[in-house]
Amino acid sequence: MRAQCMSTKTVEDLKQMYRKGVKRKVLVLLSLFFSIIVAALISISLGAGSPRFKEAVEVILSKVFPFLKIGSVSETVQVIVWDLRLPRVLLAVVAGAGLAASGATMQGVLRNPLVSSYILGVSAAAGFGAALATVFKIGIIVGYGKYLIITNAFAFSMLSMLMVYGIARLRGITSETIILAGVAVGYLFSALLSLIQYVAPEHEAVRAIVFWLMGGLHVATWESITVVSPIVLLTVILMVQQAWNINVTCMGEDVAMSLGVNPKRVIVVTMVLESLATATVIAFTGVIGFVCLISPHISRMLIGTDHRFLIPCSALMGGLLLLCSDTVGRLILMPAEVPVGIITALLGVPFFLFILLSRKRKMWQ
Amino acid sequence: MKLVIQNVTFSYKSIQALKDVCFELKKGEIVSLVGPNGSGKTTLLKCIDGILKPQGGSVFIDGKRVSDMGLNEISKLVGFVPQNASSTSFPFTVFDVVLAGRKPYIGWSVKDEDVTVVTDILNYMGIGHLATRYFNELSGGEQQKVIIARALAQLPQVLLLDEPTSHLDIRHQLETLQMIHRLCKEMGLSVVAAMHDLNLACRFSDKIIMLKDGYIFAAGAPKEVVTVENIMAVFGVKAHVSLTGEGKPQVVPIEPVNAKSLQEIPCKINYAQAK
Amino acid sequence: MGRKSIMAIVVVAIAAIAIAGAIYVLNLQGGPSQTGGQGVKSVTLTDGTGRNVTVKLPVKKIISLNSGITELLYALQCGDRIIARDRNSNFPRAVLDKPVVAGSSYDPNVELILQMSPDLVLADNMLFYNQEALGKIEGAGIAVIMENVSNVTRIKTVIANLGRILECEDKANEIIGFIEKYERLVQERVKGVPESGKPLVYIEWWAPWQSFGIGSAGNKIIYDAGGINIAGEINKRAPILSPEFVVDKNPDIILRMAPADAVGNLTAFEAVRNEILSRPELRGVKAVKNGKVYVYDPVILEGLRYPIGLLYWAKCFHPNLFADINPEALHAQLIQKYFGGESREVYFYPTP
Repeated sequence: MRAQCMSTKTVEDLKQMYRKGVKRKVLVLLSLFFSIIVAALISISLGAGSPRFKEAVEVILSKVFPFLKIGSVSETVQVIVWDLRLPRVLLAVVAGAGLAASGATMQGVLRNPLVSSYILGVSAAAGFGAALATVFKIGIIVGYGKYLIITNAFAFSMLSMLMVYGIARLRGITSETIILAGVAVGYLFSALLSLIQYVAPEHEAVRAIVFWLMGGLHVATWESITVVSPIVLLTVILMVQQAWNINVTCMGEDVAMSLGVNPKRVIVVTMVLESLATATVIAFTGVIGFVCLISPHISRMLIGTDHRFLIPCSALMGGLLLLCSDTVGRLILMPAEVPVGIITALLGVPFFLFILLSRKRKMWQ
Repeated sequence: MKLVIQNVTFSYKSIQALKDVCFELKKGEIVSLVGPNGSGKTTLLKCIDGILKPQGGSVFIDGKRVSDMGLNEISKLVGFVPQNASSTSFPFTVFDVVLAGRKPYIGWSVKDEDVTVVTDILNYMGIGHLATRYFNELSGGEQQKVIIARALAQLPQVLLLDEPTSHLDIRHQLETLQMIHRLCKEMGLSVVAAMHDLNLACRFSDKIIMLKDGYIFAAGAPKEVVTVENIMAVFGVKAHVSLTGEGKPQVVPIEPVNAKSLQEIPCKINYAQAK
Repeated sequence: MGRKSIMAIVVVAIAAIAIAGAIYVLNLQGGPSQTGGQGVKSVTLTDGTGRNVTVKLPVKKIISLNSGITELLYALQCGDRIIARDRNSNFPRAVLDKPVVAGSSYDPNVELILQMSPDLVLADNMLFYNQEALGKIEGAGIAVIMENVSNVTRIKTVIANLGRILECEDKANEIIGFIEKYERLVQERVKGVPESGKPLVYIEWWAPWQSFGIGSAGNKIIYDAGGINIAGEINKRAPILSPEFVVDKNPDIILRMAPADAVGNLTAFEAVRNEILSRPELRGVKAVKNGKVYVYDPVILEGLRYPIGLLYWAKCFHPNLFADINPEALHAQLIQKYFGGESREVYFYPTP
């Protein structure tokens, strides 16, 4: 025992170290937050249309503080900045945050770093629901319109979560069962989606489905923001509240129970939260990939595995990543727009590989 | 009595793992569970910690029935050190891991008190210098100490250890057990440890419970339980038992009894020719 | 961060949402100003998707998001009113000078379109699947009409509608007259042909074995030209046929659409034809044995050019009935008259 005391650190030293660590983590979060604001301002000043930074700021100020009667901007500029660009920037941040936080939560709870927020088959089911609406105009509400696709995608996503939950109830709620059930349900809906594409009478509908599956933020309107934002905000806050349970579940099932946490309950609660967040986002934006996978990994390298910090960091990182990707996608092939899912893959993956290869710390044995 | 195990019976589906197990433990006592693989040692530990719910019988801690308590309440009384230190591939720091032991007391934010407990324990166990290292980069011995620290951070009254020395070299084995012994006597912890090494168990325990096929074959002081006959009956091993200077049994195994592979079935593999 | 901080965050969040909601509601009351009421002429019509659209006249600035529609506009001598196009609109050459604001009808750059303040946006049905973009464009007070120029049953209505909107009804009527003239001509001559005299036709479009069934333009034109589509009973617009089925039907004539990269290139057309002639499954089929395999450029079936396609096919199916008709010359005349004479190297091979 005496031989082990090679450390010269006293208890006070350790405490200082801990507090400094916490301060550092908070700093990381704050810098990400400010980066998002900067990126948002930049993004709002760029686009195919004419408005630049000055006009953008004028429009925003004049809308938020109408009584100030700031200098006159034309109708068109107003519409472009307020109705086209601003909702898009906001949706990018919110969607990225929701998807990334869900990914981080599921990775922790299922103890698997390869899991994404789509692990419960949510994306395939949403695609199927959207296809059903697009091709056959069948859905849970009457009348074709964008609402049909959105409600269908959401409804089928939740259905897929329930199916995974049902299978897990039968076989036992463990990480392995959930992952396998999620894969199976995902494949089921994938197959059904392919079937729809095959039998679709109208060629155009099939093309439309393909576009939807690529994911895009061009759907951003104030309407969609007012639906997506509160749900994402609420679910992410609740996920952060579960952070300790997730931390402990992440360390092992038995360990969790010995520390007073029922891992099965934690899995179910987080499953519902993440499905809600993910389904809401992709019902509007289509399936945007990669953000939910790489944001948690990059965040883990920056801020560690304590989910009290990891989940907010993933959310902020996801928002930033998606915002930057969408901005690039809007500008790179002007006037055409490259779907954001393609940009996140092209930008995110090399970045991720670079970080992965340059670090000595192994994430998995 | 700190810990009372009363007629505990447990089955995994159709396999009965524990049959009518009874024993008692005082404050500051160390008891080792020994027995062959599959004799129910780990199962018993999990039943004590409320991780498994016995189909029959009860566990009492300080007079309170474990099945009446919620997991959180139990975790403030009982600390569990599992056999496999690292079942996750995520990069937790040592501090994170030990801090998790404070979970039963933490609402969401980490208070000063929690940090104090963790740092005190790290210091006490001499692993303060590992605080910022990543858990899965440590050696087996170091990892073991960390997860013991985690269990201690729960400030439990009962400490359960599942084969705490099976992955350690002889130095770390001794260090770990000496530390647990010290903790037990200094902090008044009651310790139940599942041990695979009979000699270490005898050396560090006050009582030994020998399990066979889920029931208690023998219980009592080490030199009463660890005898040649008992070892033969429970492990199927012919052994030589002598007493050390402190009156603790020392077991030297000789050979397994009735081992079919050695006696009846001739070996047909010609190792010289096989390539 | 403790319980209190979480409460604070929640309160702030709810406040933020409330503010956002308030802003949104305020927005609903604003919106693009509607200029004019009386004294402004307008035309209301139904477009290809069944929607009622009101267009204010005069229409001076048009954005076209479909190549077929662009062509039609030039044919109506209104090409100069086009202020922007989609990437696929590249004929006639004059349109190449106009800025591109979309890859296709599905992904218009709404910002640019709003910036240009057009009076009218013309697109094909794909825009209907992008409800958000459609909503944003219409929300800015711009009329949007969606039509598919490959829908031959509707093409005359489309031209008539355009004539009304663009106030060039005389030109529209001229084109409609041209179309009707040849529709009637073919109809008259084919009227007396008995079923047994009609050739069996297998038509393949962009993928092997992919054909046209009920509800498709291809099917209708085959029928109108006096042929029998072997897939004509299949209730799917673009069915993929099993090779056995095709061989069993033993078509007399095979029509093959030229893929996009072969368009306008005689050598490529020959290659496409040779592929079919040498396809193992089609070995014993009459069309292949008699060399009656034809490759066609899809543009001759669309818009105002569809009579040309109709005539080519009619001549293919009943050469004796249409010996006096020269679709190639007619086509050249049409192109010269409406577009200033930029014919491609080949539209139909081999000459029937």
